[in-house]
Amino acid sequence: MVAERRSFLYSPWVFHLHCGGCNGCDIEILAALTPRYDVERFGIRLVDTPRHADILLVTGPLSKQVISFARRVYEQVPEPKVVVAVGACACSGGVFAGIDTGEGNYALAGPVDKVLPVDVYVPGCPPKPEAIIRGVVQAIKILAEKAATRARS
Amino acid sequence: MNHEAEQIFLSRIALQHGLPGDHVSSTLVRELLRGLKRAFTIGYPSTTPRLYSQVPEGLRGRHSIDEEKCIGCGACARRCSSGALKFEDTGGTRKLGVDLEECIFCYRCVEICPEEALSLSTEFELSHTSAEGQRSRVEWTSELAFCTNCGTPLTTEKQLERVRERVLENIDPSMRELMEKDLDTYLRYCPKCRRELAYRLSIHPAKYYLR
Repeated sequence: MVAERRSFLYSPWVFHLHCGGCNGCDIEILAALTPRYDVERFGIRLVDTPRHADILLVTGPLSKQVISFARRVYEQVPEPKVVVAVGACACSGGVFAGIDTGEGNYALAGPVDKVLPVDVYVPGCPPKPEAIIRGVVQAIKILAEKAATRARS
Repeated sequence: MNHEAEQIFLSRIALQHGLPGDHVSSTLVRELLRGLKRAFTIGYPSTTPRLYSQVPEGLRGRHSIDEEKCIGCGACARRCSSGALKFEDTGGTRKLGVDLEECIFCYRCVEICPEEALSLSTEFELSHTSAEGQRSRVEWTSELAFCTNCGTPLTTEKQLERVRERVLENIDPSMRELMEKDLDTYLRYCPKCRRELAYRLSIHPAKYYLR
């Protein structure tokens, strides 16, 4: 109930989940949180635990070692939740793409959407902070829709 | 405040804090001063068009292709670091396309393009929702040429044209006339048919050095 109210108020809290990337996208996410872009205008805040979050920002190509942790973190996020894949690796595999065809890296489980249901894709290597903000703003809309459908049912 | 006045102001602040005066032009201090002068935050996303002009020059975003210039040689696809830029020959056309989600915007395709047809625009807002389904792509096509004898696809029409132009440009002027006649036939055959039909079509290079 609290989460639903919060998304109606357009104040989503994000949790940042790193899944074995090069850290480029993570640095850009942190850059997006600086006063230069001031995302707290939209009520976006980085929280310490997935249990407080509405939006999950996932970066990296998702290595096999991290699958179980990614699932656990996803399950801990209260409903309604939105997953945003940040960066080329998270969206499609990027330079590691070709995992299906056997050309990819043996240690990777593929793009994030194979393990978690991704709602918004933010391509770029790394994406510009503005691009990430735009993705999160798109995610807010989805979150509001999800909250509305939950409230109705 | 102009640049000189800014410098004097900065060095005065530096001296007050016991810092050497010649280090004050550092970016950090200048940015700090700028933050004091006016609003530091970039109001993104916003409907104000001014904010979009703040995109730095040379930012590598969505690909833009000049289809008239592109000869469809596929050099960009061979150079691509992440395998995002691919081409496929189907029917009478060569389909080239970049998967923007796989692309790492490394600029190598633009560097290699012999016709300077490919470039990267500063459009960086590529995020999309999964409800839209398909991955975002930039696609274009080029017409294929086929071997006159056996019908196997050679390469694109435009590339053959360009090869002909370049050969005639760089060849010795005394040979140009001879070569010009041959090239039209020579380029329209696949390597296998060229070898087999070289004497019948009179395109064998032997005739140049046996003259």
